[in-house]
Amino acid sequence: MSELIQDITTMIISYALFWFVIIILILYPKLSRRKIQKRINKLNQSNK
Amino acid sequence: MIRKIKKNHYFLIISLSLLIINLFFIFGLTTFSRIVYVIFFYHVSAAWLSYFSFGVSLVSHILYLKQKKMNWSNLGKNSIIIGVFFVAFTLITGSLWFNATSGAYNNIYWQWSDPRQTTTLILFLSYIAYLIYRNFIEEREKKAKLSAILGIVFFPTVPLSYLSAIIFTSLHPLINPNPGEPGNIYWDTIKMFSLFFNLIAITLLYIYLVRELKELDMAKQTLQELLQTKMEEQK
Repeated sequence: MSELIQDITTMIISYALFWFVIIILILYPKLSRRKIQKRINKLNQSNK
Repeated sequence: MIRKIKKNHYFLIISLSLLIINLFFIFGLTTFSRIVYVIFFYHVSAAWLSYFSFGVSLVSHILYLKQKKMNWSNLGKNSIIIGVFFVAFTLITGSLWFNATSGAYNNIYWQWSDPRQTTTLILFLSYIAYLIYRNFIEEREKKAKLSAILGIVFFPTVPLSYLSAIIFTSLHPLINPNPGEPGNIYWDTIKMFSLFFNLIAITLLYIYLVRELKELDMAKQTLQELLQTKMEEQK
């Protein structure tokens, strides 16, 4: 493989990884909060 | 609450927009001898954010020990979560960068003799240990107090990681914006501008993430209180 193709591959992997980290960090609190909110709602309903 | 979340989303929108706009500057205006040098913008930005996050965590842990407010402890923990992700990214891209620039892709990803690479790994493992340790303690006050101490004890790994490339001989190049002055590589104004553009974008993202993680902590707290009330009712 030529150096240019390897450079492009390395760059794409790094860039994809950058966005992967960002997406994980954005989704983690959102999804966790949704899960907790469901539990809170369930508990509130059972308390009624 | 809805208003607060919406306000926070502005940080995310601006940050992501800046990151996308910066692609134009990086690919359109800057010139490199090799395209792989583009990694540098993201590698440095992530390293900056991780140092910044750990700096914020140090301040919030000190403030927790002074004021005993749980918010400070949570901010310290949340900053470390963000920092750990970005330092992991820094380590991976650093390894990829090393493999690309040390020779003609010889599959050499790690150099133990490089002080910054090694000290950054120590930094990463220290804060991973912090998160594991914090997760093991059940009692809230004890958790906050001990993790604050641990957060302060581990912080010297941050300046150690930064200064290691300056004090010792390192493979890490030092950027110099002024031509003719010492520094391994010279970066012109456009490259420096693109780098600072990325730093601003990623710092705004940090603000968004910290606020989102705070909302998550509040939800966890509400759940814990509800569970406690229910347990007391059952007794």
